[in-house]
Amino acid sequence: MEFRPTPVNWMVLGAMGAYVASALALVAGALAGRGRAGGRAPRVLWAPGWALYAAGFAVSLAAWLVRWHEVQHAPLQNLYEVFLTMGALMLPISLFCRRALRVGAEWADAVLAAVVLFPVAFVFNPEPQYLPAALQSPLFVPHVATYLAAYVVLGKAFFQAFWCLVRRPAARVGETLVGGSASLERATYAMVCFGFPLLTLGLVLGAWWGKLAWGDYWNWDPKELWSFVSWLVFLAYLHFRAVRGPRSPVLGSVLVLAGTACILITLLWANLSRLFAGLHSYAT
Amino acid sequence: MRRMRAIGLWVTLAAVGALAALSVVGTFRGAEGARALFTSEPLAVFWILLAVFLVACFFFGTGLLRSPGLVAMHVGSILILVGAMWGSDKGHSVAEKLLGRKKIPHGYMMIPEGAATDEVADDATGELVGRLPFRVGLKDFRIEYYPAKGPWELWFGMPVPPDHAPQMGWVPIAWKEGEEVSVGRTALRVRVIRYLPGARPVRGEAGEIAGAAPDSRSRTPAMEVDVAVRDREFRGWIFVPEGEDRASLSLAPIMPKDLSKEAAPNLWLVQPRGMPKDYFSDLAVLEGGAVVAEKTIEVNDPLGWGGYHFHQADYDHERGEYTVLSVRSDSGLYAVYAGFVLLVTGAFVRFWVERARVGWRRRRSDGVQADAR
Repeated sequence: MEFRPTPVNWMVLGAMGAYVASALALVAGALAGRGRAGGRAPRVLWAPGWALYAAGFAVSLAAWLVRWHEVQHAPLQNLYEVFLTMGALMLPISLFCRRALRVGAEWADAVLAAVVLFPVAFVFNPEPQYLPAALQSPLFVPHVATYLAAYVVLGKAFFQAFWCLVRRPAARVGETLVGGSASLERATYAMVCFGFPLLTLGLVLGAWWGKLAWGDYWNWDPKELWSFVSWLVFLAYLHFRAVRGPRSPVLGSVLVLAGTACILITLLWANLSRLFAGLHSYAT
Repeated sequence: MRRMRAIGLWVTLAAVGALAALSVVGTFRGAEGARALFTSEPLAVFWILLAVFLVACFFFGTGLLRSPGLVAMHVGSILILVGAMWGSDKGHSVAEKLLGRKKIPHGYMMIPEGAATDEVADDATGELVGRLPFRVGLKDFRIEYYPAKGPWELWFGMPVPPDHAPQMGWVPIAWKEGEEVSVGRTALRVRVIRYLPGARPVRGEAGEIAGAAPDSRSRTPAMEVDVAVRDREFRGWIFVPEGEDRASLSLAPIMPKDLSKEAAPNLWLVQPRGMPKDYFSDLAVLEGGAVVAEKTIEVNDPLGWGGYHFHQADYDHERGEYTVLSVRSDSGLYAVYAGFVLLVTGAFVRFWVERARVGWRRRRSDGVQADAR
């Protein structure tokens, strides 16, 4: 693990700093607003957090565009570019979730953005690579981008589910930052409902592309199988929630955590481990 | 009714859990092991039961019919399962027994340039598995390469450009600026005096190219060489014009018809090849000796003809003189595609559109109640 001083990596470092600072400022703002009418601090307390969050987004978006210019194709080819993209996706998804789904806790989103950018700056190889023939497809960008959006959304669902499970020991602070148990359960469900169609679309676009590139829409490749397992776990959660409603938040949360763990395996282990060598091994 | 829903839930969760557990087992077995597992007879029974269960969901009061999105997702899943079973090896044998329709489920074809064949070989063993009712011919095969980084290659040989692979007539020269090197088994010695990675021409009084000068905006190089054969010596520039990927310098002043009776050999400065960018096969489909279809296929753009798809799978890595096509029957494929469309559309309708509509109605009714108060 070492920092490789490329222009993109310097920008990533800057974005990480802004994201961490924004998380701290947003937490401080939320805690300062505790007990106030409406539960929200004055603008002067939360605005700096949002400003830093926006700054982190602007810098990571700029890094993403510079990378695009460097490699001359949409930077979605390998883990370096995929994590860089996820770092730039977080703010738009946070804003959409707040406005359309009434799901907040943006400080956690900022932490998640900093976490996904960390391996970009310190772990993954920044060397630009040419696109192999199989990746030169009109389905390359939609397939990968849809999956990344789904992963970011379901990463947010993971956070809600995690707080739903650990809510009791951290009740006072936790409820200030993320809301009560009922709202956490509803937020988890809302996030999964938002992310699951994207996960489905990513899976199906991949299958269609596999048919065009390799001849079969399903090749039983380890990465394909892990992505299918992720989809199945969230499918199980949605069936469970359809019948049980919000009455079993713990079991529901466990399923969401399991689904997110499968996503991590799909995204990282299936690519990095020699155990799962297959058709997707180039994406490291 | 509630009891039926609860039973339905647990059966669903058991089926999904079993499929997830089997998929995890499959990931550790590799693609071939997973394929063998999921196409085994016990699993064929599982797939059929799963399809039957999905159909049964419509009849046992699970509330499915109230949601167009859920209907689409379930119908889509059924179509995918049925299409996949129909397109499997076992599906092909069942179709042959029931309908008398013989079709090769999958295999590959190896076709040399200028030849045509109807033979399909087994993916694993390479043995002949059957013949197509038409022939597929390869008119031409070509590879595009990315430019490689680093200094350009220097070759010695014929007055026609070398083809990157060492072969009769051309010899690669392992050059280093300032060092004299011998060229293969010839008496020729070459010393690279200067190599300019980006260069522009310097013209003489008559407008001819007399040399080169460094130019950071240029993407093509120039090389000044000193060439010697026994007591004869000659110095010159190889300058690559902008946009070209090779240039030559005739060695006629020191090697007149020395190696070839027809023309003097050349020194070639050639852009190095990077990794392959894409492969192209110009295919023709022949029925009764007549060409009935033509297409240039590449990776991601196959040819579809006569119930089969032909995908660019591999090629002759040494000389690029033959292509390897993967052949796939399209049985069941369009049912699977229809299932994909329904599954995705249903997911968006169910979890985005229907949820948004419920939320909008709720907000509207909250507003009406607030107005009434």
